[in-house]
Amino acid sequence: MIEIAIIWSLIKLLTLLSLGLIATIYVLRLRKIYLQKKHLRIERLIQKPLATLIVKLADHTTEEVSRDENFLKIKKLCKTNRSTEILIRQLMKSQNVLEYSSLGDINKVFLAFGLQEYGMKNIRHKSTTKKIKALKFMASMKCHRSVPYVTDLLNDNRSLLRSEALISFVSLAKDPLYFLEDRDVKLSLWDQIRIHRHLIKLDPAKIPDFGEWLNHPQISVVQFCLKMILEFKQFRADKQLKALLANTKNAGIQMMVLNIIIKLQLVDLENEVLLIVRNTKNSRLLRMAIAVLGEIGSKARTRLMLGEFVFHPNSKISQAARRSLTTIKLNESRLKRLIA
Amino acid sequence: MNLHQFHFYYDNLIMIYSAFIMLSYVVLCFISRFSIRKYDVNNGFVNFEDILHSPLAPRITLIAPAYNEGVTIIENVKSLLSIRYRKLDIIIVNDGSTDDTMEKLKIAYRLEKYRNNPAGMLKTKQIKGVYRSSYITTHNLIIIDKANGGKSDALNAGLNYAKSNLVACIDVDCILEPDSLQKMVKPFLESEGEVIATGGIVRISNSSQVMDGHMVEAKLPKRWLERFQFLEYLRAFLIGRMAWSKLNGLLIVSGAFGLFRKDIAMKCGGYDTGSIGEDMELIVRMRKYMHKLNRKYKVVYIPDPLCWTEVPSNISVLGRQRNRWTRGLIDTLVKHKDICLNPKFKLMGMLSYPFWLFFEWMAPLLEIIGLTLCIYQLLMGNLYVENFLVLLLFVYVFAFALSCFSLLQDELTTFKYVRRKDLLYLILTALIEPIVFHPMTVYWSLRGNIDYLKGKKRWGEMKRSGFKAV
Repeated sequence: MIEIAIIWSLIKLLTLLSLGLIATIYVLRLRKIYLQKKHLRIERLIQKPLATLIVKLADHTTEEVSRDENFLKIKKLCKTNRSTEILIRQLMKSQNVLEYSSLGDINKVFLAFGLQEYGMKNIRHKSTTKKIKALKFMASMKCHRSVPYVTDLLNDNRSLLRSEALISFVSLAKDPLYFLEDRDVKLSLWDQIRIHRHLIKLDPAKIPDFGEWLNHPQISVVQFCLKMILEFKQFRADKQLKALLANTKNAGIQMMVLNIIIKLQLVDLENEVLLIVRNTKNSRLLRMAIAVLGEIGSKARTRLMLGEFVFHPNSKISQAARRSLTTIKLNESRLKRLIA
Repeated sequence: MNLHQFHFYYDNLIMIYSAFIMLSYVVLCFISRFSIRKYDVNNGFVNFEDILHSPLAPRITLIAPAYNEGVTIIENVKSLLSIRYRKLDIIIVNDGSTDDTMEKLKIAYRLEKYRNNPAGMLKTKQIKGVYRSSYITTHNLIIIDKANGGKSDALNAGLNYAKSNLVACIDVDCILEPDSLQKMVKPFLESEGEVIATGGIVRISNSSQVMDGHMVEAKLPKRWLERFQFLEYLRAFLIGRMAWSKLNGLLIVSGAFGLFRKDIAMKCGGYDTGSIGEDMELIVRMRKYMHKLNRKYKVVYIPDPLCWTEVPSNISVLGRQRNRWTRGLIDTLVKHKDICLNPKFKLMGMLSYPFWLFFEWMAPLLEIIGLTLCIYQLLMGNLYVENFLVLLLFVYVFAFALSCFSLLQDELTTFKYVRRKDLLYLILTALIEPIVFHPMTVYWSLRGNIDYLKGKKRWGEMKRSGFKAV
């Protein structure tokens, strides 16, 4: 049996631990409330002079004195990392809210307060959290000087950091998809969603040609590019889609391409669809190809091609063929004759 | 071996057993802290709105079985409809309610016939009709009216009609946080098909205020019985589930709210209609299936409070619920006994299953045997009362420390209960709970074991008072 004295010591230890835990809860709560209040106070103090600075920086009639006063006010407040972070957050918020013409002014503030250096320093910092915050900030401020550092982080061991760097890269780099040069890069659905969210914020002229990356060795990249071709309605990708359809054996990819063909009405790809109808053994793919043919195929060829599928032993395929024949407006009596 | 010898061996056995159980909880505490910390770092900067607005986000079907939920059904469906997710279908399965559940739904959502055929082939009780809301704004609401077959049967009916590959199975009386699905789906998006199920923290909504299906103000329950359960939930979710999730050894995703991959669930045969603990049973079966395929997989838990549920506020209903939970646990453990200490099932076989077997199922039984022996010894004059009391005190202090740790975890994650008074009440609850509530749970567990041996398969009724609307 264990000595009772040991049990007593354990009881004392656990009691102390429990009291310590309760004390920690209270301290944490008080700290949280204190920091929240402090945060709000600094935020309130920064807001007004910052707004004046951003709005009036470009205004040449503004008195130099008041501008300098506001500048000094903020400079005085932002001596600690915490208050600098609050200023950064305010700038990022302003950027989301203000019109395009004011963005230049925000950038001036960004440079004037040395936030560019601050961000660059934090990107190189050891802490993951600081790095991520800095990446987000630099991307938001469109600080192109940080691109080399961001590029370095694309190969970081920490997946979280890698993913964040990827998003910053898309926002900052001249060619947002340049990171795909790395043949090993994989894109999770989460990465794809975030990249897409950043791409839609870009100037439409800067949207890259996704068709160029359809020969990437990673399936996830090809899938992403196919989704983006559809999202941004890149009709110009038809040649690359043609090549992809001819080369790939992956049924999932083929079905995605078929979906694009049907939605973008890429009639030039009829021959490739016909090839799938002729050669595939995958019944789902076949059904889809038959449906696509009904939508985009020339009447005569579609009728000829699909005529034989009307009698297919797989009822789902024969139904798809009949539906497609109805889509190309083969009237009821002719369809019956064909079936007969 | 005489009784004295038996008592000696039993004492030592219990000592070793207790040491193991306590040690395992300490380890789980550390792992859960680490797990929650990692979650916070990974998600602290995440903008979940990205999922909400993205056309690339996968479609989700929410399945909620309802049986005699007439009192709360409209408020509950409102809550489900207010979930913020772009591609969402909601299926309410009326499992042969004998009250006005179906009539209320028909009137509120002007239901019309739904003509699509089921996508799945799971066997269920007779489907009387499938309807869809005729309002454009709630067109994603589908109602299945079927003959009564129990929760599992209703969920299977829902699975059959679900069109998406991700299905969230929930209790209809739960209030979900508006961003709950965005958070639950994220692990699926991050992994390349590895995640097969996710679960979220279930919180107690008794005494809280709800408006238009939203939790407006989370309050600590007023009744002590509810507060005991509140603390129990905190311990279970913020320590146990988070730690097992980190180890990838979770055997249960709460039936109140879980998100699954439908293809895997269907290949496993859906919910087992003969099981009482259907939530745990399905997860174990899905895990076994993945092991058989020799494919990597994960079951993930999220420490954010995503779902609010009403817990029983009177002893008899609570007793029935706990009785059912015990029977469900035994049922699943017995059904999948081949996993136990089977290295083929890796961590699930060597650690998770034995933990549930020895520490979740057997602990209350051993406690009762120990207590009976102590009383016998006391009557015989053989009990060292002082030692016995010291040991009892030790167990009590350990339980209190564990509750304090879960309160700290809660403070670090959610900070939902802002009032200082609430925290004081919770500490007081932690002090009383081991003396008042714990013996009751042990008793209900014993009753559950006895009822299981008798072959009782009934669910037992659960009365709802409905949410307190603002």
